[in-house]
Amino acid sequence: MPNNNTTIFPTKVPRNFRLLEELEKGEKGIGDGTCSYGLSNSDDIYMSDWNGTIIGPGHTVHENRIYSLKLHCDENYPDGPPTVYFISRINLPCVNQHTGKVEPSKLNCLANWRRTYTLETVLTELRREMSTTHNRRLPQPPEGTTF
Amino acid sequence: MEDSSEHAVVVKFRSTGKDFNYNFDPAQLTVRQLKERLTTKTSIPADSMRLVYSGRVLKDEDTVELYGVKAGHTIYVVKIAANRAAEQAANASTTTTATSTTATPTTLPSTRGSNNVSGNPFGANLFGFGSGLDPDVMRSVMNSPMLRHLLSNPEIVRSMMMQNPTMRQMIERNPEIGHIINDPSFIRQTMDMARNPELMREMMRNNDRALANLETIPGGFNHLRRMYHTLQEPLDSAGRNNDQLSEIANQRLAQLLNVESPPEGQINSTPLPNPWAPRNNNLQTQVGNPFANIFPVGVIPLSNQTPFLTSNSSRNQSPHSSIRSSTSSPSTSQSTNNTTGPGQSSNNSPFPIPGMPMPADPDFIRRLQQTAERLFSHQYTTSQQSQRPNSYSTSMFNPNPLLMTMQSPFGNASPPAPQQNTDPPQTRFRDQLRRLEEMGFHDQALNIRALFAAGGDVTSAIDWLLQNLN
Amino acid sequence: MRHVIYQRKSAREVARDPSTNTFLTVEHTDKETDNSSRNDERAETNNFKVLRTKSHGSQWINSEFLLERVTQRQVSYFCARVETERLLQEPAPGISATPHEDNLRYFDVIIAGPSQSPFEGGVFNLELFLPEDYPMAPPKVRFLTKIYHPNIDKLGRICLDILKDKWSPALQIRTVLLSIQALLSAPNPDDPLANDVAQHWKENEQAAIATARDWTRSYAQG
Repeated sequence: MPNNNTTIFPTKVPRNFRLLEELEKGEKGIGDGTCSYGLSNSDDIYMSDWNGTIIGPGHTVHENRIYSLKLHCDENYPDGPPTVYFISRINLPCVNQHTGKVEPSKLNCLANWRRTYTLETVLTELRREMSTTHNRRLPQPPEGTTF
Repeated sequence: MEDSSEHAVVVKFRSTGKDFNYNFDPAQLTVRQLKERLTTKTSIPADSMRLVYSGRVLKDEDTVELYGVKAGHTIYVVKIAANRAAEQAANASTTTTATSTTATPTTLPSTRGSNNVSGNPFGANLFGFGSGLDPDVMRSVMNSPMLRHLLSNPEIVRSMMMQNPTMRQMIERNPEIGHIINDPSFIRQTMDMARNPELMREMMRNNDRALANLETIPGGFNHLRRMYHTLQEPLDSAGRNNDQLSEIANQRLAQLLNVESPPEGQINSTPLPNPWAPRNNNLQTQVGNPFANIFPVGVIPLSNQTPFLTSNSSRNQSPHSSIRSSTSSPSTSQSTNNTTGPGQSSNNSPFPIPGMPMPADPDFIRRLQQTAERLFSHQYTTSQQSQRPNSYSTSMFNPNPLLMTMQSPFGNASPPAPQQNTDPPQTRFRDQLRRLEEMGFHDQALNIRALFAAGGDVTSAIDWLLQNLN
Repeated sequence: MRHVIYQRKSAREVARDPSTNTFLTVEHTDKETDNSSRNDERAETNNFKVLRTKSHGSQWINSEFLLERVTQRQVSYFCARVETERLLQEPAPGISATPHEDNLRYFDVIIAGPSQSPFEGGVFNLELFLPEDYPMAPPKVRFLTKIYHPNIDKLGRICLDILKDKWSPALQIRTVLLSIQALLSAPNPDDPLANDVAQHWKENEQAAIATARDWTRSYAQG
C-alpha cells in the first residue's frame, strides 16, 4: 500500500534554525574542503553575512588558487537565494566583472532556487562552473587581486 | 609538540587524502606558528600551506582563536604553489596559445593593412559578419603581443575606428555608438572576446539567453527590434559597401522575423549591443511589434524609460488588460497608428525597411477592437481560452503576409495568460482529499470547504477542520 | 479508521478521532521497529491501545481498544498542536510562547529574567522550533537577546542537557522553557558553551555577575 503520509505534515525549518544547521555543518567541515563557509561575525545573531572559500579545481586555470567570497542571506532565505559576491577577482561568465557579484540569472542554482539548497550548494556549483569546458581555460586576472 | 595546556582543544585537520587531529590552544598560537607545527604532519612547507576555516583563509599574523576555532571543528590544510609559480603557470597557458599558432608579430603590419581587420575591427571581427577570415588566424592575430598592446589602448582603437570614413559617419549619426566606442571597458571586453574563443562563445551564449528572456516579455520583442535597428544595422552596414546595404538589411529582417528558428550560427553568433545603455530621446519613440503600434503609447509604458524597466513593468500586465485599454480609447490608438504610416524616417518607423506595408487601414483597427472585445468577454470561460489571443491574432493579421510571420515571435512573447482553474474541486483537490480521507476526515463537502479555506494546503486544511468540527 | 494523536503525557497520548470528534487516551503498546530505521515511514508506525474516550464536552469513558499504524509524523504534528494550545491556555509564569501563523512548529518565546538572578528585570526573546521527529527529538531553542551567561553562546545557543542527550519524549515545550528559566537562575560554568564567559564566572563570579547585570540592562529591556 503506497503511503502518502510523508507529505502530509511538511516540516518547514525556519530561517534561523536552518542557518544554524548550516553553520554547524560548515564548522565541522564539509566534504573534502574544496568549499568552506562560515559566519562573517561570530555574534551576528541573525546570521546574515557569511564568508566562503572555493579552492580552484585542479587541471584548470583556477588550480592552486583560493577564491574568497561573501554571501548574504536576507530574511527570505532559504525561501529565496542568498546574494553572492566574489571578493577575489575571477573571470567567469556568471560573475559581474565590475562588482564581483554572481549574477543570479546566470547561475542555475540561484536562478532556480529551491528551499533545500544551501550555501554549500551555491559554492559547489560555482566551483563546478570553474571547471566546465567553457570556463576552465578562461584567462584569469592575477592572483590576489580583489573586486 | 602538542599542547597540554588547560585550554587546548582537539581540532580536526583535513588535508588532501588524510584527516588528523591536533591538540593545541588556539589562544596561544598564531596561524603561522600553527602552520609550522603542521609541516611535520602534512609534509607541506609552511610557505605553501594555507589554512581554511569557515570560509576564511587564516592570516599568518592572527591568533587561531580570532577565527573562533572550537573543539571538534575542522580546519582545511591546502597546499598552494608559491605565488610566483602560480602566476607563471597562468602566463604560460595564455602564451602557449599565442606561440603555437603561425602568426608572429612580423605578419602584423600586413594584416593591419588589409581592409577586413584593421579598417573595421568591429564590423569584421566582432560580429563575425561575412568576414572571410579563418577563426584560427583571427585568434592568433588578436593574440599577438603587438596587437594586444595596441588594442589594450582604447585611444588607439578609437582612432583606428575613426579613420574609417563610414564608421565615422555612422558614429556621427548615432551618438550612442560613439558612447560605446568611447567606453574603454567595452573595447577591452570585446578585444578579450575576440582573443578568446571560449569567452566569445560564452558571451554569445549569454547574449542569446538574455535575448530569449527579453523575447518572452510582452514588448520585449519590440526592444530587441529597436536594438537591432539602432545599433546593429548601422554598425553592420558601416563595414560594407553601400550598394550591399539593402540586401543586408533584408537579410537582417529575415533573421529578425525568424526568431523562432534561427539558422544555425546566425543569430547565435551575433552579440547585441547593450540594451541597458543610455540612449538618446529620438530613438526612444515607439518602434514595435504589431501590437505596440496599436496600443496607445501610454498603455504599455514603452518609451522614455530604460527599456529594461519598461519590459519589466509590462511583464505583469496581461495581454487582456492591454487590449482592453486600447479599445477604451480608440482615438488614441487611431492616432498612434497614424504616426507609424509609411514614409516615416527609418529611425521612427516601427519597421526599418522603407516601403514595407503598414497596418494603417482603419479596417484593421476596427477588427482588432472587435477581437479585443470578444477576447475580453471570453476571458473567463474556459482554461483553454488563454490560448485564444494567438489564434485571434492569426486571423487579424492574415491580410499582411509579413505581419503573419511577425506574430509568431509575438506568440512566443506573450506570457502564459493566468490560468483560471475551473476544474471541479473534487478533481482539483483530488490528492488532498484522498489524504484527508486517509486521515479520517470523511466529510468530503467539509473537506472541500477546508481546502478552499486553506488554499489547497492539507496541513492548514486540517487545522481548519479541527477548529470547525466542534 | 484512522485516529490522530492529540496529546501526549509520557507514554500515554490523548488522541482525537476527527470523524466522530471523540478524544481518546492511548498508550503505546508496541512499535513495529526500533529507532534505527526511523527514516522508513512504514517502519515508523506505532500501535496504540486506547484506554478511554471522551466526546467533546462530555466526561471520559473507560474503554479499551487498539489503534493501529499511526505514523510518527502524525504523532509529532498533533503533539505540537496540542502543546501549543495548552501553552496558550495555561501560560507558565514569566514565560510566553506564541506559534508563528505560517509555521505552527515555530514559536516566538519570551522569558522574563528570574528574580534573585543577574537577569532579573530583563525580558529575553527566544525562538523555538519543533523538528520533524519531535517529540522523539528535542525542540531547538535559541536566545535572540544578547545575554551574558556561561551556558549561552554569542549566537544564543543554549547548553542544556535536556536539549541534548537528556531529552525524553515525555518532556514538553513547557518543561523545556521552565528549565531554561531555571538555567538563568543557576548558571553552570563547569559545562560551558561560552568559554570566555565561563572563565570569567569561575575566576571572579562577582564581576561576571555585574557584567551579566549590565548586559541585562543594555540588551534585555523588552
